[in-house]
Amino acid sequence: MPVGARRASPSSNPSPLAGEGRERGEDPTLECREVRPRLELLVDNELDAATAAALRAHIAHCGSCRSLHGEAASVPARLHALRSPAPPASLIGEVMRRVAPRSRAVEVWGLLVPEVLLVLVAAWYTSGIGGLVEVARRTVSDVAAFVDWGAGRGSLPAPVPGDLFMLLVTLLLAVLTLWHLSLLSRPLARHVAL
Amino acid sequence: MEQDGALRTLAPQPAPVAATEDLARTARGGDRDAFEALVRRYQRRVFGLAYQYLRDPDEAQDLAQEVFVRLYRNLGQYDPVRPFEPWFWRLAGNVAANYCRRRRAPSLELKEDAASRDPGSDEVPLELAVASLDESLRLPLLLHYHADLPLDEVAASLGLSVSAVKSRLHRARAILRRLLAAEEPCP
Amino acid sequence: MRWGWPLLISGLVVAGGLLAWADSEAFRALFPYPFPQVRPRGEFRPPAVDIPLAGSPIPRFIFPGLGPVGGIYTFWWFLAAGAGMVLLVLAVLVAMPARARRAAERVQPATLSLFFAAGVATVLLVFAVSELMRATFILLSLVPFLWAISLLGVVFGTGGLALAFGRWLRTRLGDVHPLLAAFVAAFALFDLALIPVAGWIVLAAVAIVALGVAVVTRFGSPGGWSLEELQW
Repeated sequence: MPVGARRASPSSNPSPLAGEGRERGEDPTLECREVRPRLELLVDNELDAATAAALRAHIAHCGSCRSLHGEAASVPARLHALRSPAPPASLIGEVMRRVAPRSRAVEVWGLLVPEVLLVLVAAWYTSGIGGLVEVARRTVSDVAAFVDWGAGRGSLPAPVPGDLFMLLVTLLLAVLTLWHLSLLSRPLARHVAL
Repeated sequence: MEQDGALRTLAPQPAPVAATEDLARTARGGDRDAFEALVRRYQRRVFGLAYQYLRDPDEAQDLAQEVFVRLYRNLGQYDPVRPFEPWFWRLAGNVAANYCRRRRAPSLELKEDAASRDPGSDEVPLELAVASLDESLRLPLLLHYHADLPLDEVAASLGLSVSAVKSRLHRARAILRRLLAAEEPCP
Repeated sequence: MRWGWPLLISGLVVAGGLLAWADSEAFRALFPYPFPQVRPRGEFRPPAVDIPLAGSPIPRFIFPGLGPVGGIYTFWWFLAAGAGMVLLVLAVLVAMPARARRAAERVQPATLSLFFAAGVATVLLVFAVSELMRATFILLSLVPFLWAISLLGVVFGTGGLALAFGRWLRTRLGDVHPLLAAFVAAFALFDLALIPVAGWIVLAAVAIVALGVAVVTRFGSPGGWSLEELQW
């Protein structure tokens, strides 16, 4: 049905939901007041076969219900065909401006600076890069000793004596790197210019 | 003649129209040209939905922009092996529903708007009838019948059950039917 | 170009063979025994060998029971290690094709620096977390799992990078199966890794970028790092 399709205007018939008007179609089993509330369901094919058949039989003989059914059936198509004005020419430009990425250089490289600084602080504390490597080697050998102990080949490694400064430095480094990674892992599209 | 045919095959061929899923997948990887192509492809329908929903061109442009910006932000969540359109319209419906909530009582404004409209204007009575619906009925109606979104997608978009969506659609159409048949101006 | 791919593959095979042979000659001192020597566990005590620039001898526990290899076998060792690396990369692509593709889609020339920074941050994070876990002593047992996951990340990321580089090769040399293109990319990386010092630096850089790819894309998952799945 074309847009703005002509409504059926049965001027001789009362308003569809006038309520008390009891027109009777030739089908004696259903009255108009029983049919009309179910017209939408009939259009959507949500009635069981028997009820649908009964409704169709009524509609075939009842002019006003038939016109109402025609209208109900046409509404979906008319809604689909609703016309709207064309979008403004500036819409695309505005959208692309809003999604333009801002520079991520600061996010990418900026936090590496404090991270490297923390590593240097740890290196200074452990007396040089060799000290850091020694820390890493001890960790590796402790892990190996733990695995050996688990396999029944050796004893547990000695617990590491507490070094508060190194603990704080490594904790800070862990938090900083996690934050850095969370910034870098945000979906690409989150970085839009608002 | 044969040479013409052979030469023609050497000439640059017009680029085939990319499938929407391919565009979306490329846009996911950061290709802004692909994203712009997506916006071009959908701007008319999105603006149309927004206009029918809000009945104001400026607000409709604003809503359409919101839809596309949200699309850009959420592209990472789109699974390219699935069809793009249902996912996109579900997102658009969600944005529209949330958009209206931020603006206070748009349905009241629209009803006033509709009432003050010149009865001799060339707007179709169906549009006026749709505009007079409550927003909770108008949006599912437009998503299902105007944007052709299946019922389960409309439900997912609006955070409702399918039966709730069906019930709203039936109520909306019953009201429309009554309004159109009664030839009354929209309240 | 119809001959592009065959030429490239042949060139890589020849270069790989030559480089592996050169390496086996250059590092003969590291591998003094011409044939592999296998001893019962605990009986063999290989000497600690000095690798230049490493600063300390190789920890003994890496090959405790296998014994060193050397000589003619070294050549095959390099080739086997390279082949293993290439096969690992292909295994990732075969086992997780969708994830690898999603990760490869994010790899663009513009995002390489982002992945490198993420890889460096991840290496530092793994180091810091290892130290913290070691301090708790009980969690020391989980440190190998952390390293294993990091290693998996490197392998996965390398698969993604190989797929992405293969995609670039396909635009240059013609369309072939993505797996073949990725294989060629991994092969090229293996050849580069055989170049002493410079190749190792390249390999380390690729490994860091690969780790960054794995972490940023969350192993190529559809939603990336998102807590929306927790909502209900």
